[in-house]
Amino acid sequence: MEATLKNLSSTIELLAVAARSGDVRLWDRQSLSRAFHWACYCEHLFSKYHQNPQIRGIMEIQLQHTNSRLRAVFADYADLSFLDLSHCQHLLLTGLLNNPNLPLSIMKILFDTTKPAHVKPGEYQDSTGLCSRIIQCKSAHKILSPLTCHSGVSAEVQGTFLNKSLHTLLSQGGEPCRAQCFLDTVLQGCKGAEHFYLVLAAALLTGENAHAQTASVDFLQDWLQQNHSLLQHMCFTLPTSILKNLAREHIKFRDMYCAVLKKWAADMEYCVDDGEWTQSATSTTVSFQEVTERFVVLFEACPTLRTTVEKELNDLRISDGDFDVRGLSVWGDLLTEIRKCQLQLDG
Amino acid sequence: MALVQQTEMQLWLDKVEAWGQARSVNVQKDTCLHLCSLRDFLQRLLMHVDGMSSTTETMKAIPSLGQILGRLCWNPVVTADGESLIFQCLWELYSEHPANALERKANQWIQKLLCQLTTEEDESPSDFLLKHLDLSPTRYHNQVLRKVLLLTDYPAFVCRCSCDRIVSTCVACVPLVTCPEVAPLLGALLQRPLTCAQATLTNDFLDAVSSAYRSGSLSLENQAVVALWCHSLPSLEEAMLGLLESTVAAYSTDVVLPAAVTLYKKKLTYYTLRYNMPRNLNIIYASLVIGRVPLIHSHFFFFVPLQNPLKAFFPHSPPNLLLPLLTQPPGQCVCVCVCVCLISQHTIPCIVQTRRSFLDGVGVVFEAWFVLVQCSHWVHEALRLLATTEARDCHPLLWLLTFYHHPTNRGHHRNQQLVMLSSPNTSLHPLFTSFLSHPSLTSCPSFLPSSISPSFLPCPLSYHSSTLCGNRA
Repeated sequence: MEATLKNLSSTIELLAVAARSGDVRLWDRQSLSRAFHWACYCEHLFSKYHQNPQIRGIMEIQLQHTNSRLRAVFADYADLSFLDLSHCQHLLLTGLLNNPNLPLSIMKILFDTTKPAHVKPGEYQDSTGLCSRIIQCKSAHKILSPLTCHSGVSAEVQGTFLNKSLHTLLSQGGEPCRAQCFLDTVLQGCKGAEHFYLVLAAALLTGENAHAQTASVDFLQDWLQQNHSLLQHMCFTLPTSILKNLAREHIKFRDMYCAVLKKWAADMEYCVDDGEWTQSATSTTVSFQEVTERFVVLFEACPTLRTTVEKELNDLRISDGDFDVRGLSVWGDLLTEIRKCQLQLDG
Repeated sequence: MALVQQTEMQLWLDKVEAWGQARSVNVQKDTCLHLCSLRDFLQRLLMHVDGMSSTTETMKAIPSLGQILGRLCWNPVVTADGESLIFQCLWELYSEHPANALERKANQWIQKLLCQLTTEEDESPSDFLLKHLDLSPTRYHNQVLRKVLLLTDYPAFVCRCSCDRIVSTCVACVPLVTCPEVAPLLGALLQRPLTCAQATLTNDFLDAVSSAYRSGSLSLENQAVVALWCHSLPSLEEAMLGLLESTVAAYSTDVVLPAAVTLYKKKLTYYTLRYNMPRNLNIIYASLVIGRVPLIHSHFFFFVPLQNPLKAFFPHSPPNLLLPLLTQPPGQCVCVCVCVCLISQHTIPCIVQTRRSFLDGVGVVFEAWFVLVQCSHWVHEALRLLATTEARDCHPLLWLLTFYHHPTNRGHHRNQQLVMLSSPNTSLHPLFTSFLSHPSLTSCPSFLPSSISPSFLPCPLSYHSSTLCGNRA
């Protein structure tokens, strides 16, 4: 263990030198190769121990000591966490590319186009042509995407990996809150970015290996249900086509979405001057027309829901006084508009 | 090579400005169509800049160089292209020991540009999220590319795809031929059956694939390689020449045997090697190449059966056909030769006539003919025996000759051909007999079929007409 901690510390120091020191001018092909080997070694340490709280804790302490030493040497040093070890090679690469002292010889090795390097997960990446391979992958994606008529591939890939991570956490047993903590941390870090909602949707719509993913998909839906604000923002932000697919595939999500639409309607007040129902000041402003259309789309995806929801809306209208006059009950007016839209569609 | 002129620089500057970051399909398509001329331009630019003493001098001579290179770096068609010289052009502008502020600024700009190209993301998946998903950016981009490739639905290209889609995919793949992940898509395009004249693979695509495969930048499965050869004869010829070049000076079994096995595994290539290639090669090289083919054949027939069953190479041909044909005629024993030729004559028609399925039949006929052509010494033996066998016994020999020249019997004219051949043969027979009885005349090469060199057979039709029809007078 002592040797492992020493190696970990040395590699973190190596990353700092690669990113900030002028010593990198003396690097040659062998130095570069060794640096990437050590970075790969750290990634292996992360993979092996990140689910082991005891060893992880020891390594985190070692990291703290190393960070404080490096802060004393480099003024602009930013601490590295245990989580950062998961892509140590990328940190090394980014550090090198941002180091103004990086020599031309090293750049030429990194951007070599003569030898195609094959990237296998968890394995040492040959540094020769590493950058040109990354650029080639990104460029190939941009060229081929228009041929597929399909957008959101990156969110789908991340959704798949989100599902895998959840599945790993849930299948390992142990503390049940670890999966919850994982999602909470990710949510906090992504700070409500629209892309994150696409990733969540993709994680729920993952059709591959359906049996293995059921537990993680159920867990994710339960977690969404507990996070009302997140769920509302997600339903507000995502395109209706994606929401339609989610509702069609998962009954739980369908019911959650229906509840969100009803909440939006319940928050509305009738403006006599405009003759329209409008939402009171909330973070998600949805028009009455939009709520109507969303209900219609939801019924398209889930026809069996229509009867149940129409009955619920009618019951709510009756509880509001059973009026048929516009402007007195949002439920009555909603029911009327939904039926009008349905008639137009059916006609 | 001509230097790059200012007018040409301006033309390309206008072009790359119009392309921008090539986000739309049409712009990407236009870039792909100009890729060859762009490569040529960058090559000449590189040579032009290489002649300059410093970046300062370069920037004075070509002020728009930075703009052109900078814009090209954001065009995915240019950066995906493994043969693109864009990075080499940037190195030419980089100063290892910058002498002034301009050169220092150029260095900073180049390094920043390369860093952005490598690390910046369009869709902001955020490092934070990738970290938590245990997904390095390198692996992430690789996974995204693999997902996009699956979404092209390339496995279905074999049985269904619109013509427009095939053509647009070919155009898009031209800069991607050195990208390893795209190899299965390239293979699917190559192996797509030719069901529509409008969905043919573009020449630029075939040239790009051939070039990448030849240089070792592209790895394809065997079936895709054979499909490439079917689409592109020049690539087949290059492959065969490369194979034969490695055996030209080598007579050891260790070198020749693998070559023989490779040749026989790709039977289609034999026809091209034997009949098409000599027309395209210069005469000396053609005879040298063709001269080595029998050597390869002999090694194959004597050594391969020890290690691999012949059935693997000739699945349609039964042993009672293969074994007699593959056996060298033992010395000059006429009786044995006649006997074996009779076997050939009896077994080949049986195979040809008993198969009911049309495709089976074509395959069987081709394989039987293929084996016979490779064992062409039997054809020579048949011709030799024609001179000594009685006319009434020549039918099997003539049958063998007609089968050799017209294997498919299209129009069912074989019987007619046999009748046609019988007549001149009967007329020539006394002549052959009288020559054989005068030994001093047998040394004259022009009248004996055996004078034809066994190592080179010209086009069968011309040979046929010269020996049997040309000598009638």
